Amino acid sequence: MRRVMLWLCAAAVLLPVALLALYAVCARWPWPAPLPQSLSLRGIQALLNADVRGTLLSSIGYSLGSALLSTLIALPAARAISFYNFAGKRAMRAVLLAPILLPSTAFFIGLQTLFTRLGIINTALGVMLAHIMVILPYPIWTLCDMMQSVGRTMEEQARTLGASPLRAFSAVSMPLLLPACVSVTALGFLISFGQYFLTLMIGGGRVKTFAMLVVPYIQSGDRMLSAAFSFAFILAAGTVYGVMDAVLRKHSGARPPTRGSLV
Amino acid sequence: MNRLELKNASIAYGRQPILQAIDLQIQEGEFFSLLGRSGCGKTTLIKAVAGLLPLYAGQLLLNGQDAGNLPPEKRRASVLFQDVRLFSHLTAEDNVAFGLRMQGMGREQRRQQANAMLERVGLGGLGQRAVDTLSGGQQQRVALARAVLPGPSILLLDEPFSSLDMELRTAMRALVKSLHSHMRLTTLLVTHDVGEAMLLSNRVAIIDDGRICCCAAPRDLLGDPKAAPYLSAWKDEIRAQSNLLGE
Repeated sequence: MRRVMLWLCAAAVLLPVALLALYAVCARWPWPAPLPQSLSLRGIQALLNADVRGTLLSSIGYSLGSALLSTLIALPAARAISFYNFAGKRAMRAVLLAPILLPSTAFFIGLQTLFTRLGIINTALGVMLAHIMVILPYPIWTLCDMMQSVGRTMEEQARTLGASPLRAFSAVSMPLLLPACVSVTALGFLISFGQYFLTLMIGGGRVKTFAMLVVPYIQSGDRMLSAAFSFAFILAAGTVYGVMDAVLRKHSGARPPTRGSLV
Repeated sequence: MNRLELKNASIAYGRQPILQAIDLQIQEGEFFSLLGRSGCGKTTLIKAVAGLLPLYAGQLLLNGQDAGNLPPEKRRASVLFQDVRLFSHLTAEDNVAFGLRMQGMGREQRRQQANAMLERVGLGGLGQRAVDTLSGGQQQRVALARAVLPGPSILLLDEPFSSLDMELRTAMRALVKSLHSHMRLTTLLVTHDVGEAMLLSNRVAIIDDGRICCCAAPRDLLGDPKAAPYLSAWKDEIRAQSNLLGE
């Protein structure tokens, strides 16, 4: 039974992707023909265009940068929330949840107004900062859970063995948090890579990401091109995710991690 | 010289005092036990000596020097907690060598010393094992080896045997006693097990109501009227165990 469920789940994910791959090379597939009537490489040729490749690479760069920075910001924030009492802690928790709790349009318009005043509208910096703000609640709350699970007792033990506070964190807590850090970075990458509306509002069309290329094709009704771009979108996201998982497995220490694995 | 002295020390959580006016001296190489019921502040005292909690009042001297403001890493006070606190991402060998690594010793040298120490605690050949694949008793031995290998100024034992079964507990007591004798480690054990304190220690102090109510060598403590209410329930057991050891 478990095996059947597993196959059903795999089919639910893989069949639409396979169909997308087929549509990407299918020039004509009229109803009710069971198979495509003619194939074409027009979609793949469009993907191999230098501009598209450049946009794909820069988009991966923006998303990876946003995700990494989010994780770096989230680490001390999660530690502060988990282990310290300070004035305004409750307010800070609410503010950190704002990007999830507020309607996204209202939040994005607010960001656009703020970034216009700051002079970073229509810039790559503005887009990345906006992506970081959308991503940030996820790594913070995930790392809060992990920090509380790891606790401070291990760091205390390390300090009694001669480790400075920083060394205790880097030698003891960080390796235990690393799987979760890689997981949230991968998640942040996916959130950022899929942003269309926010990128359009903050980047003003001048900062192009891959999602901004995909959406117009989908809206245009050109099924072959929209399928090819959508498939490339999934492939790029999946590849970066896969590479992160491989890195995590390779550097997970003496044994495979039992917590925080991507798969 | 590895001598610990507490002078009129008080320890509090916030403004709530846990221990008050604690005066004690532990001499170099002495095995000293603090006996008290659960929740009386024994672990709090261990944490304060290790530098994990500040003193609310009074003085803490290590080798005659005021150490009250020293951070834990400067005190060289190794702690063996009841819950072992092994670093699960490291092997047994790397756990044992952790203190040496923090001292900046080279990899090969600390590997050799860690493996020699593992051999000494009866875990030779298990250095490459992930610590969570070891049994509870083996984990306790790894934690003990890790605590003593860096050559601490004082070894602090926070009820380290209370979660072990009787057979393991006896074996661990013997191991601790043997390491203490061979390395002349100044040792402070906190426990609620009267027999354990009496068997292992040169001197025993009893904490009651946040204060030390009496302190003496185990045999003298048995005749101390101040200790009588505390020890009465265990007296017969202690005598039987003392006779068994021929003390």
